[in-house]
Amino acid sequence: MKSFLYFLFISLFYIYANSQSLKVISSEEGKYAIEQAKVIVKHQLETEIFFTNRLGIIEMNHKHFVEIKVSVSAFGYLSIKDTIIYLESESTRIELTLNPISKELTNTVITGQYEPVSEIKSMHKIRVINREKIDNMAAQNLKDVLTNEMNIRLSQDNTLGSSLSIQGLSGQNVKILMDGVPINGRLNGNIDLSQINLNNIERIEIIEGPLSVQYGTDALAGTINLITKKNISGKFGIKSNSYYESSGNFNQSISSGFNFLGFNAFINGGRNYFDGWKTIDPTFFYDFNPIADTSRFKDWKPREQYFARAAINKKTNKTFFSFATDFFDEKIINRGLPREPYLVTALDDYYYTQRIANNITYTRNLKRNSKISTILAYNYFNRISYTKFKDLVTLQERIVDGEGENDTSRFDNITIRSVYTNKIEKYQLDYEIGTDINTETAFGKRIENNKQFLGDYAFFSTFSFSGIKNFDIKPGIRYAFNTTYVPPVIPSLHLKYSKLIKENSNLVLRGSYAKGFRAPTLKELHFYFVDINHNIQGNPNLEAEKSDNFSLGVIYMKANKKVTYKTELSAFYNDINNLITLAQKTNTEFSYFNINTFITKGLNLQTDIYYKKIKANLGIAYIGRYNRLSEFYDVEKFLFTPEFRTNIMYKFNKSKTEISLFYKYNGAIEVFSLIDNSDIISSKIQGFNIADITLQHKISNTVNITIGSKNIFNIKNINGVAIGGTHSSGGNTVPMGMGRTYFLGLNLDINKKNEK
Amino acid sequence: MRSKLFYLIVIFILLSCEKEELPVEAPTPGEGIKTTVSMQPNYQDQIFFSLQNNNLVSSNKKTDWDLAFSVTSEYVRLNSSKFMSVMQIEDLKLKTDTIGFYFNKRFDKNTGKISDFAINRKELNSNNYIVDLGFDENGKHLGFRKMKIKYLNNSYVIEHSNLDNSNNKSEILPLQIDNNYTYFSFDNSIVNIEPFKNSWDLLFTQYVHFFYEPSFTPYLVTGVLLNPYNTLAIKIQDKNYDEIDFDFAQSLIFDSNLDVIGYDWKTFTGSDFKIELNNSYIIKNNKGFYYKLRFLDFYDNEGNKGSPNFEYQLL
Repeated sequence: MKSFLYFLFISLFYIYANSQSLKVISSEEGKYAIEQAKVIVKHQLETEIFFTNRLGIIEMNHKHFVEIKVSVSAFGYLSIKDTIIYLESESTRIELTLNPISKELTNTVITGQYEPVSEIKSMHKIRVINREKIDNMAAQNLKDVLTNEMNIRLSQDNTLGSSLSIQGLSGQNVKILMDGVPINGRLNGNIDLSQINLNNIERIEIIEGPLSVQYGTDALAGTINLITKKNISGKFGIKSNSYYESSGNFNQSISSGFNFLGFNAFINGGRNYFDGWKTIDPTFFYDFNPIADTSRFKDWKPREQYFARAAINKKTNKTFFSFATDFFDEKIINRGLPREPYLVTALDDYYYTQRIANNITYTRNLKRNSKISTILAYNYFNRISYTKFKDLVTLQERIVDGEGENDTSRFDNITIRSVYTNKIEKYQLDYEIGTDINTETAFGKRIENNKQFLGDYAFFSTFSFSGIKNFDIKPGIRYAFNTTYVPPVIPSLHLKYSKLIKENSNLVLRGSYAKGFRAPTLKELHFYFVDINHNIQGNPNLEAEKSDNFSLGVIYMKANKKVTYKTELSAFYNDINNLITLAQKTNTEFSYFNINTFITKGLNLQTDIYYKKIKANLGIAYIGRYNRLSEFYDVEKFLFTPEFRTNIMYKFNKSKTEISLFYKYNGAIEVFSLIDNSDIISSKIQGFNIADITLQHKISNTVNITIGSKNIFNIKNINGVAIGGTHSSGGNTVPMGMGRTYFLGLNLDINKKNEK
Repeated sequence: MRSKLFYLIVIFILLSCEKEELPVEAPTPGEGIKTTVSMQPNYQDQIFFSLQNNNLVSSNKKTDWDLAFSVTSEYVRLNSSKFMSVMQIEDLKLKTDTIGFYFNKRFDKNTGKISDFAINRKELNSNNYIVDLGFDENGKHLGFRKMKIKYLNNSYVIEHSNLDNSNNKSEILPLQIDNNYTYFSFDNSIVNIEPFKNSWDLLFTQYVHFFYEPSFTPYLVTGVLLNPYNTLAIKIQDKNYDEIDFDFAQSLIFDSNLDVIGYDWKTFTGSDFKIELNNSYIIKNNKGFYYKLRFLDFYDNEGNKGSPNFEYQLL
C-alpha cells in the first residue's frame, strides 16, 4: 500500500471552534472521527488524560499552552506521539490522523450512515465484502461472492437465474442497491444475481434486518449495497481481467481509470460467455462441433453477457459530484431436447435482458457540519423472451406465435433521493432529514393492461444522540404516500453500547427494533402469466407486508500488533405479517397471497482472526423458519437449519502469493407440506458443502495469475424442493452447482505509477 | 514485458463464441405397406388398427356395447355404429312411453368435440334420458332404456330401467385410465371393447354422419375414425401420394376431428363403391409419427364389400 499511510501527518484546519481543541481521525476512506481515543496531553504544568467524544474531539480550555506533547492511542489503531504548537491568539482545532492496525477491523461503511464510518461505529450491523475477498474468491458476479456468506442461501432457476434468501426470508424482501440506488428488474420477486457484475465494485455492504426507514420497500430482510470504485491510483491506469472456468466460462473485461479535466474518469467493458453445462459433461469439456442431437440440451443454459460502464466524479472541499452510466445485455438460450419421435425438430427459448442505469450524485457541504446529498437515477430493465421452432436437419428457425411463447417485461424506475444531514456537536447530536421518491412503470404482456404505474413518495428522518457516556441511541421514522396503498408508518430504534475494556480491547453491544415493509409490487398486483407450464396471476387485493425485527449483538474485539481478533454473538427475530407469497391456488394455478404470518429467528457466532499473514474466520449459524402448519397440526413450530463457514487466507513469498480456502456448509432445510388438505408430508432440501480453493500469484508488477478449484465437493443437483420458487415440486432435485470446476484468472494491471 | 505477452497470448487462445450447430440427418421413411381389413359385408365388426405395428389390435361386434364413458372428460359417447340416439326427459319414473322421441332425439356428431356429443358435460349430471338402442347388423331394432348418469369421484354411476320402470339397475363404472373410455352394455355392464389408447390409431366402423343438404339428416356411414388420444390427421387432395414426404407433413396444420378420414374416400355410384384416388391422408399418431395413407379398394379379393384395402407408409 501507499507508504505515506504509515506515517503520521498533521494538517491544520481553521474551522469553527471556541477554543483549542484536538480531533482524532482515521486515515481510511471517509477520514471519519475516532471516538474513545485516549489522548495524553503533556505541557509545562501537568499531564492530563482525555478521551475523545463521539466526534473524535477533545476540548482544552487552557488557551495559553503554546506547545504541548500528545500521545494518542485508540482501539484498532497504531498509537502516535507528537508535539503540537497552537497559535496563541486564535482558537484552533488540530486534526491528528491515526492508521489502523488491521484494515478488516475498521472497514469503512456508508449504507444507512450520515457519512462514511468505521464498521464498528455503525449503529447497524454491517458486513463488508471487500475487493480483496472478491478477488481471492475469483468471484465473477454477486451470486459467486454470496455463496460464502452466512445467513444467506442461494437458489438457482435455470431460466430465471440465481436468487437468494437472507435470514430465512426470500429474495423479494431483500433490497439490492448500487451506490444507494435500487437495482430493478425483479422476475418473480427476485433479481438475477448472476446479472450483477463485480467488475467495478470496490466493496459490498450487507445489512441484515430492515433498513426500511432509509430505503423503504423491500429492505425488510436485508439490504445489499454495492459500492463502485471512486478513486483512481496514479494518473492513468488500465486493467484487464480474463477468467476461464472448466464448466465453460470465458470472461474478459477491460477497465481504465484516468484524470480528465480534473475529473476522475472510469471506463470499463467486458463480455462473459458461458457455453452451457449438463450433468453428464466431463470436467474439462468443450464441444468444438456441437451437433443438434440430444446433447444440445443443457441443464445450465448457455449465456452471453456484455457490459459497459462510464463514470466520472469530482471531489472538492465542499462538493462531490458523480455521474455514471451502466449498460448490460444478456442472451440466454434454452435449446430444447429434439422432439419425439423423429428427433429432427426442437423448440428453443431465447431470453434477452437489457439493463441501463444512469446515476447522478451531488453532495454539498453546508455551513456548520451539515451537508445535502442528492441522487437522481434512472434504471431501465427489459427482458424479451420468445420461442423458436428449429428444424435440426435444415437448421431453419421460425418464431413460434402465440400467447405465452413471446413475452416482454420492461421496468422503468426513477429514484430521486435527497438527504440533509447535520451534526450539532454541542449536543452530540446527528440527524438526517430526507425525501425518497421512487416510481416504477411496468410494461409487458404479462401485466394487466400492458402497463402499470406505481409511485412512492416518502419522507424520513433519523437522529443519533451520544450524550450519554458509552451509549448511542438512534431512532428513525418514515412516512410515505403511495399511489396504490396507504403505506405503514415505519419506525426504527437502534441502541449501541461501546466500551473500551483495556486499551486494546473493545466491547460493543448492539440492540435494535425496526419495522420493515414491502409494498406489493406491480407484478404481484397485476401479473398475468399463463402458459402450458405456468399459471400465475396477480392479486389486486394484496396488502403491504409489515415486519418487526429485533436484533441483538455482542462484539468483543482485541487488537494487538500481532494478533487481532473479533468475536461476535448475535441473534435475530423477524416477525412478518401479511407476508406476500406465491402460493398454489388450485392444482395448476398460482397467485400471490398475504399469508398471515411468518417468523424466522436465528443465532450467529462469528470469529475473525488476523495473525501475521494469516486471516481466518469461523462462523456458525442456526436459523429457524416458522412452520405454518403447526397452527393446525401437531408438528414442530420452527424448523431449524444449521450453517457453518470457515475461510482461511494466507500470504507468503513476500506477499506475492496468497492461498485462500472458502468453505461453507448449508444445512438441510425441512419443509412440511399439505397434500390433499389432509396428509402432511415432510420433505428436505438436502444439506451440502460448498468449498473453493484459490491461489493468487503475482508474476510481475503488472500480471497477476489466479488458479483454483471451485465447488470441491462436486455438488451438482441436490435432493429437495426449491425454496420459495415457482418451479418447485415435491421430491425433485434442485440444481445447485456444476460439479467441481477448475479455473484460471489472469489480471493485467498497468498503472502510470508502476511504470516508472 | 514477457508477462504481458503471455497474458495477451492466453486471452487470444481462450476466446470463445456461440457456435452454430451441425445438422442431424433427416429421418429415413419406412417401407410402403398394403393391407386389408374386413368389417364383414354387413359392417357388423368394429376394427381397431395400429399403423405402427401393421396389425389389427382388436375387433368386436358393433352390438357388443351401448355407451362409452369418457375417462379424460365428463361426457358419454353413444354407440354410433348402431345408430343410437337419446332424448332428455323430465322425470325418470313418470315417463313410460317414447312419444315425442322422433322429434327430440339427438345423435353424437363424430367430431370428438365434447359439445358435439349428445350427452356432454353441461348436462351430464342434471338430466334423465330415454335411450334408443339402435339397430343390429340385420336392421332389427334393439329397443329403448331409460337412464340417469352421475359423475362421482373418478367414476360414473348409472341408473337404468326399462320404459315401464321394470328391470331397474344401478351400477358404478370405474374409469379405466389406460383407455379412452369405459365401455358399457345395458345387458352385460362393463365390457372390454377398446384396446389401450396408446396401442392403436384407426377405428374402422360404421358411424353417424350429419348431412345438412337438402335437410338435416343423421345418417349411418361406413369409414374410419381416429383414436381420440393425441391422434391428428389431414386430408390431402392437391398433392400426389408419392410426393408426400416428411418435410411436407411437418409444414401442415393437422385436424383433431375424429372423422377427418371419415367415409368419403369412396363414393357410391348407384351400383358399387368407387375409391376417390385423389384423396390421400396424413396421420400423426399419438407417438408423433407421420404416416401417409390412401385407399385402394373397398372390396376384398372375392368381391365382398366392407373390406377396405389401403396402402400407407411411415414418413
